[in-house]
Amino acid sequence: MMGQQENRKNGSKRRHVYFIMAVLLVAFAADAFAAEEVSLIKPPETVGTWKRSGPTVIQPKGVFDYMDGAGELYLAYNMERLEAYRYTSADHGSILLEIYYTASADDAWGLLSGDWGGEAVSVSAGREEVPQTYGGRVPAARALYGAGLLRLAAGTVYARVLAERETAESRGAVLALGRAIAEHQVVQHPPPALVTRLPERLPGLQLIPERVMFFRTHLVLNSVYYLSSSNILALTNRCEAVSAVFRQQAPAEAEGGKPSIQFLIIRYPSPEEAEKALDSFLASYLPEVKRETPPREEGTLYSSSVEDGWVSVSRRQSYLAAAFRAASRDASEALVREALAGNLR
Amino acid sequence: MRAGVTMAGVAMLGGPSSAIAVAAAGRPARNASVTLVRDAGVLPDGSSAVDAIKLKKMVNEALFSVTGQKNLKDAWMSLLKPTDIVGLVPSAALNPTHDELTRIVTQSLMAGGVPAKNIRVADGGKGDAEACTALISLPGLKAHWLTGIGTVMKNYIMFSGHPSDYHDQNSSKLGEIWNMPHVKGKTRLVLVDALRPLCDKGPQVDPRYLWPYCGLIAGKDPVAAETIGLRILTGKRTELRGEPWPLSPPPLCVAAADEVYNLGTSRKEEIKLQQIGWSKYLLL
Repeated sequence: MMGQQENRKNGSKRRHVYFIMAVLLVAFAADAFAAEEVSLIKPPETVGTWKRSGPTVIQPKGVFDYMDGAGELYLAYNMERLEAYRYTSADHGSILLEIYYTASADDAWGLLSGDWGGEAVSVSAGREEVPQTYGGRVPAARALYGAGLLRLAAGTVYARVLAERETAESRGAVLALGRAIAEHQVVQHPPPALVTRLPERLPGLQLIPERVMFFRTHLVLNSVYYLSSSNILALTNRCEAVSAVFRQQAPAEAEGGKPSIQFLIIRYPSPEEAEKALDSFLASYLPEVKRETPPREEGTLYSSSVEDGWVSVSRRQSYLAAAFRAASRDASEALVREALAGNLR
Repeated sequence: MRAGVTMAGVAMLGGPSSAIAVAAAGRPARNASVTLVRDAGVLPDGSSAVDAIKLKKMVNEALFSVTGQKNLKDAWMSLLKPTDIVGLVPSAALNPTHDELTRIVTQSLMAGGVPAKNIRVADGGKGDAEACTALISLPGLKAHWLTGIGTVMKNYIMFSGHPSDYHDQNSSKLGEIWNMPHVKGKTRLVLVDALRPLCDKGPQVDPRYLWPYCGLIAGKDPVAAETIGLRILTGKRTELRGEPWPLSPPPLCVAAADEVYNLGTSRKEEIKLQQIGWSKYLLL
């Protein structure tokens, strides 16, 4: 009896040790992978006639000291660290290089997606892969240049390279620095998976790829489409969200709609949080719509004609989809229904 | 967007509620004059360098137009008292006020009879405003990613003592700062640096959205001056995109400054615009 108890105790201890070893092994591997994925980038000491100084390293809590009101944007994309370098040249002014390390490739891509304007440039010298666009739903660009500023997303890194004066030489130097940043990317990351829930087109509606943006928080949403000063969709850094614009064919305006529909799809951490968000949105934005007491049947569509067109919203599992400014109820409901159809991850 | 939601946001401004009246409808009619002075040569070849001689001429023209006077002494003394401690309030963030403008206004004040020791740059916190008996607001014209526009109303945010209280959904309360005891009634002139405005909201400068407008916007009514700036920014945005491209978030602080804080007028029909100089690409 005592021997059996002893054996059981020893067996339990061994399993305990094996479990701890397994945990440590996984943690080590994850850390190693993370180190490879987000290795601290060492930009070149010189590029052309420019010479590097820095970095100034900024942690999230110090970002407001570095850039005041701009800091909130980067915190909204889970910035983990910022390294800022300055390159100076006696003849050509300076170049500011800012490397934002974020928590995920989705966050880095999201920062770029806030503005698709500019000239698409290649910074992944020699790499054969063509960036994923999910069937043309989003632009292929991962680096955009304009007026002396290069913005790029490479893996979990977002970077801004800004020349004080735009000249042929500074453009060359800016692009060279962009290539140096992009080189660290181990694998080509696709855009956020949530983008695949966007219908590319529906009868009378066409997605505009250059208006697709990935985001997480209501401050960023408000910067492209203002719903309310308050966070009526209960967005947090744990959400994944995509804002998109669909062109409507005539007679959109004749029916009280706008030329384009604004569309949102959001994935919350849980169905419960999605349901709370739906409730908050209906209460704040569509108070005239009759709504049941939760829990509601999934997939119920709530629609109303408001000042600038039709609005529709619905929830399935952890997902909430909403369409605004539609010329018709059919159009807004079709978009929402299509985005929430099929298997939801 | 739902107008009810946005105006409800303006209405629910909280704060010292006894001091705030929500009265969009039924407010008395107002009138304001704003002067817009432009000179295409003030930024030679559209570069970032400023032609100080041309800028000085623009400042003089703006001042004389706003005051109706013909010389610096009469012009400044119509706005100030000889004993005033004058605080110049340039903006430092995002699209900062050109140093040349601050310098020229300082020299102009001295030429107008204000002793040098009575002129200071008041771009710090609450104490800066408390130390001054008169303020001249010199903000740079720019959009802002959190407030829509970050020019006149936002220029005094540091005077609040708690700038973070005026971010996010509270940015529509920016006008409240202008009514604080250490600020109220002190602003004698608003002179907006519209030499190179920034028409998209940042949060950092993107040079694609800077352009050489080469202008100064001057007036005694801060809301009217802000409204003209707003029209210039939205006009440029429409031109860039080829279709209406409204600011988002909408600049609720401007309507609130008018309807709630009674600081001036944002209504187009109440603003008389005096335009001097270069008239191409006006965007108005």
